[in-house]
Amino acid sequence: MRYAIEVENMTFSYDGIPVLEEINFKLPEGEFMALLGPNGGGKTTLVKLLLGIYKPYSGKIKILGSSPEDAYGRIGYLPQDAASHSSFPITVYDAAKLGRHGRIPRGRGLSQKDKEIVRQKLELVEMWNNRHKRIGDLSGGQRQRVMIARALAVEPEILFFDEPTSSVDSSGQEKLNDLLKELNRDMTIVVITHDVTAISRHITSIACVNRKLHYHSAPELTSDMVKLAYGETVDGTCPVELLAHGIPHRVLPKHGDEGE
Amino acid sequence: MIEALQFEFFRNAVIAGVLTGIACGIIGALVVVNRIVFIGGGIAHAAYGGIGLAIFLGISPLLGAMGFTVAVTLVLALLTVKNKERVDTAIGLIWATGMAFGVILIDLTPGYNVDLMSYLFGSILAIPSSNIWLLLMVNVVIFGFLWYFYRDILAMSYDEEFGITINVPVKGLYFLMLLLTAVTIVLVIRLVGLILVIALLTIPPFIAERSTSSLSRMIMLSSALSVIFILAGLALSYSFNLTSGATIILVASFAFAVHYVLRAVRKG
Repeated sequence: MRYAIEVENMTFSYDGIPVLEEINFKLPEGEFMALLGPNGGGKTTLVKLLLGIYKPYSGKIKILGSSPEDAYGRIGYLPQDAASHSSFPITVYDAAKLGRHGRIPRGRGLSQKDKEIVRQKLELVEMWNNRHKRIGDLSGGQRQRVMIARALAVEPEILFFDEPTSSVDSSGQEKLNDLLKELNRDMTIVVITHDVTAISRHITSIACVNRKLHYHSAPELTSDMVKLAYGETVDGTCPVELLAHGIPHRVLPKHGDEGE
Repeated sequence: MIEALQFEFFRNAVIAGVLTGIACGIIGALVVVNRIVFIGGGIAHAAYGGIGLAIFLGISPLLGAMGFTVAVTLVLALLTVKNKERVDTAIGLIWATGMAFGVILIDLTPGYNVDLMSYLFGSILAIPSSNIWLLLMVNVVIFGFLWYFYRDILAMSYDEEFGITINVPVKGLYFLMLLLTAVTIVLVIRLVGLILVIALLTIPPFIAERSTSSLSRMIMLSSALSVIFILAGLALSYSFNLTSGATIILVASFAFAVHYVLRAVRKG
């Protein structure tokens, strides 16, 4: 089997404080994985390690069979705070165009084919008509769609999507989930979800990270994950507290079902 | 004002003003969009250590400031390359230590050096023609940097982490950008003094950032504004016999206030 992500005995610490310990998991190509965990549990850090932005303290990381750096150009990335730099003077079109930049030699402009790809991706996220607008004049949801177009303009084989903490409205969320499902036909997708209630129903596997990582190759939380993320007080049956927070029942383990 | 142009020193000041404005507009725009204004402030104040060192050793203050500032900037770049936001301590330390170092070295130098004031507050009218050649060279280098790396600079400035994933050499660019910032700052110190350099480096790009929709246009507008502010300040300081650096900064601040009010009115 070919793997999109392979992580072996990886640890990472920041200023001497361990952030991630003994991370081991393999994600086969073509999966649609949700990465969850409590705030400060290391989700975003893990993604930055997978992207080679941070270097692991020990252990190995492979993306699409090679080191993260060698996979650049095949990776699409949507940073969590991509929408925050809103005063930057750039139009929707120019922002999306950045996705092609890694493929064009310095000093040369976009080819007709590059322009066509940028147009396609902007149309896909329904932002082509806004292409001349300044990024700062868009709503948060619209900005996020431009960033999706930019990541897709890379024509990636794997897409990392760090969802913003402030969630998009529910109809926007539904549309986004459908789009991701479409995209999943052509690429592996990893969505970092901060809002557990917004987990897409299209996911094929789940990983839960809180210093350590549990991976489950089916779209439901195991009791181990619940313990990892929300502490030992949960007895592995029905975590009433989580349900109270609105977590959909479909991703929770059934009563008495120990998962893996 | 026009008759002043017959004096060589004034012609030099005008040429230096235009060249400084262009360099300042470009570098200022990069400093602002990369949100490293505070690092620029640290570099400017650390430069005083270089001036002190040069006066103590009896070498050219410009040369001393340049060497010292470039060295300090390299250290700063190494300390901040990994995390640009959480480096307040390092910058604050270099900011104050550089300044203190300069003051002590000047204390230790026998005799009083009049030239010192011109580094704190600038003296564009006393600019030697050798500085003009230096300014020209720096402009050429900055243009080359911008032309060759424009797309990478855009990607890095807008979203560094995305830039990394499309193979933009962000670390190398960051070092180059800081080095060019250091060199520009040292040359601008001559013009408006180290205390005011940050204002000249940031006010024009602040105005330009809000009024344009691409980085290249922001850079052009910010350079044009810098040149206008410098020349207007120069004319006013000559006519009313005021300190040139402070006059230039007040012209820029006034323009910023007008821009701000106009924008607020337009937005209703």
